[in-house]
Amino acid sequence: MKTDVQQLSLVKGEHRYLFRYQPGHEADVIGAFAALASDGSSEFDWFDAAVLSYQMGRRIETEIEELRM
Amino acid sequence: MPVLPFRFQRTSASFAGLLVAAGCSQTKVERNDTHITRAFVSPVTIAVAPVLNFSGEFSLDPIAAADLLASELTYVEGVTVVPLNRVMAVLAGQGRTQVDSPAHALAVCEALGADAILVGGIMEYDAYTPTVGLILQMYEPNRPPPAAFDSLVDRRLALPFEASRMADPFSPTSQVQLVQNAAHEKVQKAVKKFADPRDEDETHLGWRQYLKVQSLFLRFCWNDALARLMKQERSRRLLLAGGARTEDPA
Repeated sequence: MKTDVQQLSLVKGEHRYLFRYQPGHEADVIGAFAALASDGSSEFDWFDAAVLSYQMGRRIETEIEELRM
Repeated sequence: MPVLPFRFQRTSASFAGLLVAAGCSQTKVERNDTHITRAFVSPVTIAVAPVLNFSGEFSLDPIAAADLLASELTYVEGVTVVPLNRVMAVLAGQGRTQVDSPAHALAVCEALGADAILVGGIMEYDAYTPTVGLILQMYEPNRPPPAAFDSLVDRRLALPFEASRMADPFSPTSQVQLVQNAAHEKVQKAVKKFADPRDEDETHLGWRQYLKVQSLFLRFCWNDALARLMKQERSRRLLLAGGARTEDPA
């Protein structure tokens, strides 16, 4: 498993959302997506949360594939 | 189009069931293996929004992709599907061609008088392998608030984010994300199981045409996503009912 810091970003309107996390803390990041999407004052919505969690899932999937090879 | 003969087959089977119920003799009732078990106790009406294209693939038609999703939704028991042209008419009235936020999706759903709306997003789209990555969310404008929340039930159902998500009226009631690569053996087996009962055109490719034709493969992907979504929806409704087992119609 890679130990370097992972990063996901999303540009929406005038805002740039940047999520940096250590491998193994993915659940916390998904929790952060949910909290941000639930925050009415934020432009970040549940579409964005789904897109980023998808990207995170794909990254994990790729890493698992690399470990298998 | 394989869906038309299949719909006919399904109608025939339903009609045959009516005949049997009415006391008429029926020698053969074809079994329908492609339906998806419903998640709802009573019939519901669901609309489908034009698919959001996050893939960067310009050949993807969001309306055609949504049409496939709506078509697969007809295989879910207890669901009436709002025709896509009605959804498009509401969006056209707003000067839009797609939903641009969960709040907008809910507003469109209410304008249509539907119980829920599905919003699909295509994340990856490779027409040659083929490979499809997608997300599918369901939004309900008038969903019941979570009753007595039971953390023990929540943990048992393995839905760790359900409690916080249910509190937000703009959150999806359920969602799935998946990637299907037609080159993978596991996917091919699932496609065969899905396509065999539908393969009525009897082309030389047989069920394998669902691996070769992107629109057919996308149909398989939506069906798989819907099956997962309905499973999740059943769990959610079980949770809302406080873990009562009578809620699950499956």
